[in-house]
Amino acid sequence: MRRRPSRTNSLNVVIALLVLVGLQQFGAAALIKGKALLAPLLIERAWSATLQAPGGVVRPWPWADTWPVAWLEMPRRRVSLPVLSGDSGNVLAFAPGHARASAPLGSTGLAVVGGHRDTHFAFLAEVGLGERLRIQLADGQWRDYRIAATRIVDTRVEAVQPQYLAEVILLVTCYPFNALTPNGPLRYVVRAVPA
Amino acid sequence: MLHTLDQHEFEHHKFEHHKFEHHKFEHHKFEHHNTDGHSPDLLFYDRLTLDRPTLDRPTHDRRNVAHHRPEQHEAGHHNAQPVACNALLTRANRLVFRLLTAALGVLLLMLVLSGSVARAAAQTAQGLDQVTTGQLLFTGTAGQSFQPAIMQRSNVHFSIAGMIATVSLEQVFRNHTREFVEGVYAFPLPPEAAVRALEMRVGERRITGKVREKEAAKSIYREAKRAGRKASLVEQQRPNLFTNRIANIAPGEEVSIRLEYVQPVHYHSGKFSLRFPMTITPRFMPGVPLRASVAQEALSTVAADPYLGWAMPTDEVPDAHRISPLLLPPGLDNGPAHNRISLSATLDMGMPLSMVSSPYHEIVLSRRAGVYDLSLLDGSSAMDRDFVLEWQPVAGSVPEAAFFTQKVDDQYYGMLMVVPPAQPAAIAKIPRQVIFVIDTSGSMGGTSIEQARASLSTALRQLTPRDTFNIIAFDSSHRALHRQPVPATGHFVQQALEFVRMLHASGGTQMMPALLAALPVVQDQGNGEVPPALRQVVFITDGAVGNEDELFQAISQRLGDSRLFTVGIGSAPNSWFMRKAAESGRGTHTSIGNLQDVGPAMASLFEQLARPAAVDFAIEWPAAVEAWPRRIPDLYFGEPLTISVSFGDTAPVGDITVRGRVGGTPWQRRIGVNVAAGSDQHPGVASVWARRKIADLLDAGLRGLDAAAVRDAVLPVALAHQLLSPFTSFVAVEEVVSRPPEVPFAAHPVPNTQPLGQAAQPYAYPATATTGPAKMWFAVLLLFLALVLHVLRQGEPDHAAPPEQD
Repeated sequence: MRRRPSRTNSLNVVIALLVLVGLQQFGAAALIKGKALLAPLLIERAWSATLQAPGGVVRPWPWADTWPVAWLEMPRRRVSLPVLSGDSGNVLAFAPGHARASAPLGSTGLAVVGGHRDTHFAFLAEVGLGERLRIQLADGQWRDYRIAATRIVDTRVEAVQPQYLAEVILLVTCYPFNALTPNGPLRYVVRAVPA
Repeated sequence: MLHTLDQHEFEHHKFEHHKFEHHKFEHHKFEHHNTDGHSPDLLFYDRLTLDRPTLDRPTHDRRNVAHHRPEQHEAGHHNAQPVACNALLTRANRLVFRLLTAALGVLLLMLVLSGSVARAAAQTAQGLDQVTTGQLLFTGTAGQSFQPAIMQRSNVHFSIAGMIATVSLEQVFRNHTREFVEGVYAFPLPPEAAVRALEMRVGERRITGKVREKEAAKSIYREAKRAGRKASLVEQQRPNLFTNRIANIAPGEEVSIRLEYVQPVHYHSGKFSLRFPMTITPRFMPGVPLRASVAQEALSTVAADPYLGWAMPTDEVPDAHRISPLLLPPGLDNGPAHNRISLSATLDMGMPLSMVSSPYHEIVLSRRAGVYDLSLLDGSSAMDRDFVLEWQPVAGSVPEAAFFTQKVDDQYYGMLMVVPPAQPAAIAKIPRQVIFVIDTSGSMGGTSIEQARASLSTALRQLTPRDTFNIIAFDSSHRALHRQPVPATGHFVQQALEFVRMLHASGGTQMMPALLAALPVVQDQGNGEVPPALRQVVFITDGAVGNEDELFQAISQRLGDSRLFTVGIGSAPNSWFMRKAAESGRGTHTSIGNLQDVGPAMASLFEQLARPAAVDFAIEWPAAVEAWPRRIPDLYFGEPLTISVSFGDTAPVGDITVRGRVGGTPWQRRIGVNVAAGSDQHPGVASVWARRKIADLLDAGLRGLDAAAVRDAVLPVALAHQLLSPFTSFVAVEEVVSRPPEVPFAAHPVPNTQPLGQAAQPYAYPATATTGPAKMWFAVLLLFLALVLHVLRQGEPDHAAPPEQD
């Protein structure tokens, strides 16, 4: 019997550590995806409440710092998502968000809706020109839009101008779609105009 | 909530992004490349082949093992028990690793699959990979014309005499459509402008406007619009932001609106100046959008009088839609026709001048008999930045006191200007605390943030080690450099300079929380802590917010012993906010329009910060007077005391005595007045008096006076002096009917020009990626490593497990 327990044990510890951290990371990734998948279901309730009492702010859960402002659908792609108020990280984790500083949805000007490239807005990668999407505002009315352009933007050299003369919705997500690291400078911008 | 981050944390949180941008960009390219060449798999195989050789390494290991064997023998008998244990462990291990291999396989499959989806996606997007950034890919945008329906051009003439400028501003609107239109134009004016006349000109016809109560004016205008008559309605939305609506402009027709206003000339450290704003930096509207029904009414184009703004009313800025005029898209606003201004001035100071200059425009200057005439060198200019005119008397004739009078309707009015003597710079001996608050919101993008950074760096270098300081940067949220103010020693100043260098403009303008953090509630000093003798807050911003009044209120309430100094940044700052915030904060305001201004402006500000203010002013008038403003503010180095009075119907004769305390010592000055004899008439003195009275009454409203009481006090003054105010508007209606009432018309906004050099956007793109994929890959990598280690261990001949099990 030739044994080297210290070496085996340390190897075991290393392997166990690797497995643990690996599983933890996997869990964290799963949590991100899970949140993104489940939140819209919760928000749907808040949205129907908003539609019942038009104009009010209905928070999906009492401590939420955001609330749904619209519902976005692309029936052909089986996309049906809420649009929340605000585009900060903690909002986008749940659903796409409307940048509060941009023009309101459904009015003149540039309205910006951001969404994560690896969850809600992953479908933007496949969206083509001329496709239709529709947006329901708090008044219950559906508005039809068509995709007029797609574009890659370097945020280091340009940003959004909301004071525009026409009604335009920008759907913004990070680019490239399959990049690993977040916080890249590129954005994939899909421009929708009233159909 | 205030986030205090020290340097390390700070860089990590906020600037990680920028610091590693370059690196990341390369990374993306790498990814890109991989995508084309079946990368994820390739990458993986590479790693495998790299790792494989380690499997053959045991020869080397065995040698090591041989060396250690004696020690292990010594410990041998202790291990008799653990053998069974180890066997158990091994079995457990093997189970775990079977599962691990399976899990890893599933994960890999998922990743490879998602990768192939992404590859397919990248291909459908019409070869986007080849597109370099910034290149336009808008292919379906045809049919969107950016020529505004109504083109605007302006002419402005300043006639400056003594301390008062009378300004005539003409706005010409031209209908470029084939239908009747109503134009909606929002425009800025200096915050102290007393707008006192309006004249509408259609061809050869001139119609004089009248001041009416706001709602009355609105209904007169609405009626005229409905009946097809030409009409103009000018309303005040903010003291420096007005809207002009022009109804029933016929196709191809031009309508001209001429406004006249008076304003006192600004005087500081022996230099006179006048500022004329031309465009509006988009304001940020904090708060929650109002109920849709309210908002809909405000925004709807079918409303009786749409304002056509880009913002939605919020609970904090209920009139957001009125103060958010559209801007021309960048690149299209340099056309010769739209938003051009021609400008001229007559300067009659009655004293020899040593300098006349305009820092942001090129001018031509001519002089005849002590009167200067000037105009723009190019004839006209784009309306994309403030016009500033500065002039300076020769050394010997710098005024120290002046009194101007005017008689209107048998009422005598006066305006007094006195310059207190320069205070000694004694303050250097007193320790002080300087809190810098810097705006890094999206509206500061472009040249503004550079000016702000330069200003702050300059200021930091002026601090002495005895001073303490802190920096609060704000956009959508705010963060302080330090939890508590720190001494301005070399180390901390260097650290602060680095912090400033890393500031970038993006996000909203949540000014209130930052202000409250800079002006904390003064705590009970019972704990023996000595408050700093002098607490100065230097606020660097473009003031592009819609909730000004709330901010002024907060400043007055929270000020305590602190003093607030504002530094206005950019081509088109919100000057009213700068001035009023400084007034509420009992400090001064400084403007910076380009990088060259930074040095002199900050030097002048620090001159003021370093010297004690002249305080406790009292004025004895020769007769009973009504003087505005009621409370004479503290005066800083170089600032004159200016005050407007009304003497009623008796001509004032006698002496005015001004008393005050300068640097701790009493000071007084006597000025002789004899209106009856010297019948000098200074036009505008009465309007300035009325304007100051209105401003002071509105301030009382901010301090808590009932809104109805304020309105009742302001309305008669505004009507008697025919001035524009929050409660009165100018309206002019032509008698002739231009448009048959059955012919339709449309309302169009008259867009403003983008402020020069400022980023075209008031905020940045959102961050739209999660760390999910990175975590996933990391998990796979770790599990894979674990697997490799496991395999490697099994591959060893002298493995813990008995060989027959293999």
